[in-house]
Amino acid sequence: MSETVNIGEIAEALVQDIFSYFKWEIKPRWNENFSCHCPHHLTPTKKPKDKHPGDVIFFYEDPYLGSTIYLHSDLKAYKEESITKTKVRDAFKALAMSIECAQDSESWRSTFSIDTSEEHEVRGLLVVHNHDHGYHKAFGDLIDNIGFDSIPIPANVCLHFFGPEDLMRLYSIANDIMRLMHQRKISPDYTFYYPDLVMRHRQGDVWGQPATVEALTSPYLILQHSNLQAGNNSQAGYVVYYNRPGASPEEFEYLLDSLSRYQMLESGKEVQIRVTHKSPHHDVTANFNLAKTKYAKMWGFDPIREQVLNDIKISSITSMVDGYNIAWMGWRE
Amino acid sequence: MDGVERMKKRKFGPALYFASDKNVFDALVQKHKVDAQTLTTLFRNRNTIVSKATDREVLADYFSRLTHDYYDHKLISEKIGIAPRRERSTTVELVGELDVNDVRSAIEELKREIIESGDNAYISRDSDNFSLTIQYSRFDYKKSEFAQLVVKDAVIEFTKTENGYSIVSPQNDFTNEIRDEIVSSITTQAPTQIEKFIVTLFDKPSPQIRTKFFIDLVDGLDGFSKRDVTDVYVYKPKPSDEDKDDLTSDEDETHIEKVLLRGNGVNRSGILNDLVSSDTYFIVKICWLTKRVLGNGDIYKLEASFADPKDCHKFSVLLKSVHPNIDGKFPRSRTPLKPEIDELSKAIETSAKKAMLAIK
Repeated sequence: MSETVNIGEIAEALVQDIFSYFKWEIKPRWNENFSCHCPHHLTPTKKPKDKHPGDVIFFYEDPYLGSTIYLHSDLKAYKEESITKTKVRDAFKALAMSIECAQDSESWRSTFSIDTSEEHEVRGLLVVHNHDHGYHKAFGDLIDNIGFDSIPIPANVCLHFFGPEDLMRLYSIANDIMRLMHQRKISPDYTFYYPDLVMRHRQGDVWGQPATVEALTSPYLILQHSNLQAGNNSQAGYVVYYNRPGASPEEFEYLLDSLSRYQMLESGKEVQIRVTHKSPHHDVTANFNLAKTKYAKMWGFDPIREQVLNDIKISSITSMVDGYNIAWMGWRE
Repeated sequence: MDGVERMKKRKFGPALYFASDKNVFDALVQKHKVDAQTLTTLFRNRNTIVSKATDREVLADYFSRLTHDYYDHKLISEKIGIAPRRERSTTVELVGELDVNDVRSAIEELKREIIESGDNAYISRDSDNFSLTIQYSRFDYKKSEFAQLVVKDAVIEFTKTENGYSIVSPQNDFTNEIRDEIVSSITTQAPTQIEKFIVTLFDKPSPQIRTKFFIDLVDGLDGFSKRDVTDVYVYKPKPSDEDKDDLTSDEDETHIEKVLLRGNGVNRSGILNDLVSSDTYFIVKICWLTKRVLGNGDIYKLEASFADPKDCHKFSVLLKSVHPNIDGKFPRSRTPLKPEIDELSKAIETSAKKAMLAIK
């Protein structure tokens, strides 16, 4: 069936255009079914299910858990008018069942050739693309109205989603990384940054860490690179992709405080904030500058630290609005 | 502005706002404070749907290792930080010729100042009575990270009386300061001398007289009869440094400043009697049950205290709970309603005033 080929094309396009920049990998088999082993999983006509679908499996290693995260993904493309609550709700419902099954499924492991010798976790990922780019409502609002209480999500099942806006934002960030790399502002060996926490320490190599699905949907995402401008003895540089509107100085004071805790505000380290929010506040720059002043004053910074703070620049990434059209022809409704 | 002042003094201290993953975890595991809905919202804001059936600790651990921002912090703080406890109220009476418009403009002026300082305030008017509601936030460094930012409402009520105005407000430093500013602006604007009355035993240092004040207050509540005294706090101020020079014996090196007696019939207990009859300890706070003589016959749990025990100053009252009378039985208590709070607070204040004025 031609659809099989197209799902593969889409998956490859997604990886090539977006997820490779976030250091995600993909299992070489797509659009495969695996056997259902849960008797309570029923089809819409109330018959026992025998198979669950799987469009594509993305995977990466979680820097805090040290285990491999498999994102069993469902790729959906809808026209503007067909992005409805019911459709998205049904998609989540089916995905929740698939994940419950996949967690303990031999069939799933063998179908997607999962290395069982390593710790791993299976989660769901629903990717909703709007292929005519006419969907301008907030996908988040639709999600809020779905009523997840009535969808039976079993314990320990976790589902993630990327709506049309998220895909656009991730595509824009991927493009920004490419651009900064080309302009030699970041090194090609960049990594995503995960500070040591109190209860959990980062595991594995500092470099080559992926952007986790949570990092991609978090208020901000931190990219670390070796500083190309400052010669050999330079320290690392950071790009903070900031996904909030910047509506108040407090918002940025909190961000600065977080970065300070992550040991990023130190002499010799270069930090820049790149705003990725789709509609940043019109005073975003003023708010950021005010936050820097207030923050320095509050802590009675010495001139050196104040300089470090002052050197942080804020700018907006070039948004690839509506510019991205993946090979959508074969996406299923 | 207390918080700001303190912030300026702290140099290179630990981060003021930032909550670590452990702070976040500790906050989110508290099921009784952070409801399932809040947790769902936090995850939803990260494009993540989790099951309600998943163990709370697992979810708290998961969320705590994700980056969070100001808005997440605010959402969690709102759940953790606010204590829904009602505050004690305190009354100032203004006696003299007061013009309603002068009172109004004094309140209006303070309202503007509050708004300029970054808090929120509004006035509600009911004929000659006014209330000023202030929504303010302050940092409290003594609390855990999430409880530090305290967002509160303070309502200052100005009620016209026969011979002036009565001002009731929550007993705390923030509100006292605002109230005092309004009072001083009202009194300076007034064409004639305004007398300001508050309940205080500041100039009555005798321990026995101070104790008697509380006993009279409890017994003298008009329209109510005392049922039981449940809590009594007695206090003995630490000798000041000047007094210490005279003290040479070892015995005086121990000092019990405050004693709480809790139980039934505390006022009749020998322990209390021994303490207060020694003429060194005096009552600074009392909780008791009182029954309405006429009408519904409900029982009320009341409290009267001085926020400043040493000087018996900053008097405040609180209606703690109501035990409705159901066929002569009092099976359960409930939180008081606004008219009950107003009525009982006023009754205690009146009794306190009477007891204070009776002291010669």
